[in-house]
Amino acid sequence: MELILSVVEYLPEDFYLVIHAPGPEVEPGIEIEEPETLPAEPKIRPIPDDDPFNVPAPLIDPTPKGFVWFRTKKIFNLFSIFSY
Amino acid sequence: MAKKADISSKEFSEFLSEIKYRPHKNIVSRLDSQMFSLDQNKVFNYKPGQLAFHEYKRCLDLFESRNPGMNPDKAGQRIGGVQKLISEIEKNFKERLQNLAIDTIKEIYQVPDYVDLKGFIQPKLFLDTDQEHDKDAFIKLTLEQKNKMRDEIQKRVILNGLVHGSSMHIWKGMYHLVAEELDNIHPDLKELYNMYTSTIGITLWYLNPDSIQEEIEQNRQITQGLNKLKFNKQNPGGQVEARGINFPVLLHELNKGVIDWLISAGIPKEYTAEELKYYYAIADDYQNEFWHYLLAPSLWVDLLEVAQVRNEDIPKLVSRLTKLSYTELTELFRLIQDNKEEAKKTITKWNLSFQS
Repeated sequence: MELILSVVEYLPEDFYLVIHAPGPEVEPGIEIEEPETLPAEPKIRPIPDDDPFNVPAPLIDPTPKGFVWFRTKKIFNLFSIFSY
Repeated sequence: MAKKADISSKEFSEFLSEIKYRPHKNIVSRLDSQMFSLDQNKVFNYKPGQLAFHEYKRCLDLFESRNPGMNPDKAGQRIGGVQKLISEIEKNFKERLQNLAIDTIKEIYQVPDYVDLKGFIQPKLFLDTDQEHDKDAFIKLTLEQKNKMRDEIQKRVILNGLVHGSSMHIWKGMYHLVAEELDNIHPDLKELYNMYTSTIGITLWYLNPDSIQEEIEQNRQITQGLNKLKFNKQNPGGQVEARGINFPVLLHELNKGVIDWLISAGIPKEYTAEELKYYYAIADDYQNEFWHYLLAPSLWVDLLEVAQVRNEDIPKLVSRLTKLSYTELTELFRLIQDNKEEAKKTITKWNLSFQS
């Protein structure tokens, strides 16, 4: 047990420690495996209420905002003939 | 309440009296006579000449420092050529630049993972500015309903000003934060971005605002970039999608998207779908955007000077501003324009200060 605990201490959080109980077909020992799939219930960190990015969803998403430029006649003509 | 705006002051003309290069005459006359799309807003109609002059001077100084000897009111002629050169270089490094832009904005504002930032460099873009697809919202609401929404709409106009103002202000130099990475990609990029951003910044002032209004009405504007928000309806979080024709515009759009996300906390929760459509149509009217480009950067700069926040605290500041009423926001932003020392006291009193 002490040995198991000493190993657990140094494992990263996303590693699983799989311990096979000794049985007729399994040699006693400890095997460390990386999980092939994520746990079924991933941990969800709660978002604090005072997090400024925790914005309640509006009923309708806001209008996209642009950054637009304008084709005045003078600039338009120059756009088409100008080469840097 | 603060005093009424003085429409006979010709404030902008007076500020410009010593300046060699003047903005387009229709910009000057519209600001002097206080006849522009934001003129119903008590923050933007207060001292528009002062807000405009400070930003114009910043744009002019930046242009002259980056383009010595060049005539600023003729500089617009080279925008197409500079953009062409930028696109030629960027097309081979698009993914790297997109990731760099996302990482930069994420780090500046400490954006959490549950707000998914997406950024795309796309040399050809189109933003549909026709906002009258759904006329029902305008017809179904009574005059009384619309009147009740007036203050909330004007509050959003101020907050939209912070979205555009912050982005117009910082995009002109934000890419210097990643200068080393840009130099590794191509040694000419930074200089091209310097030319591009300083030229766009100053040339906006030489455009005729009356022609622009027509361009927007006809949906004929040229899109540099846009941002869209998609909120998850079940869980917290969502997506900020930003598109720009080049790297500095993408930074601008990602910044805009993040601040736009934060101000969405100020959207009234009790509105029906029709009310919300009307609210967006008026507050987010694309006619307003051009005037936000010219006036709102000064509001942003003044706010940061008074609040003295670190970059990572800007989201908290914006979030708290969304909780203020239109009247409170008006009081604060008029005070910021009048007397910065007094404004600092108000910022502290209203718990808007995050100095460590």
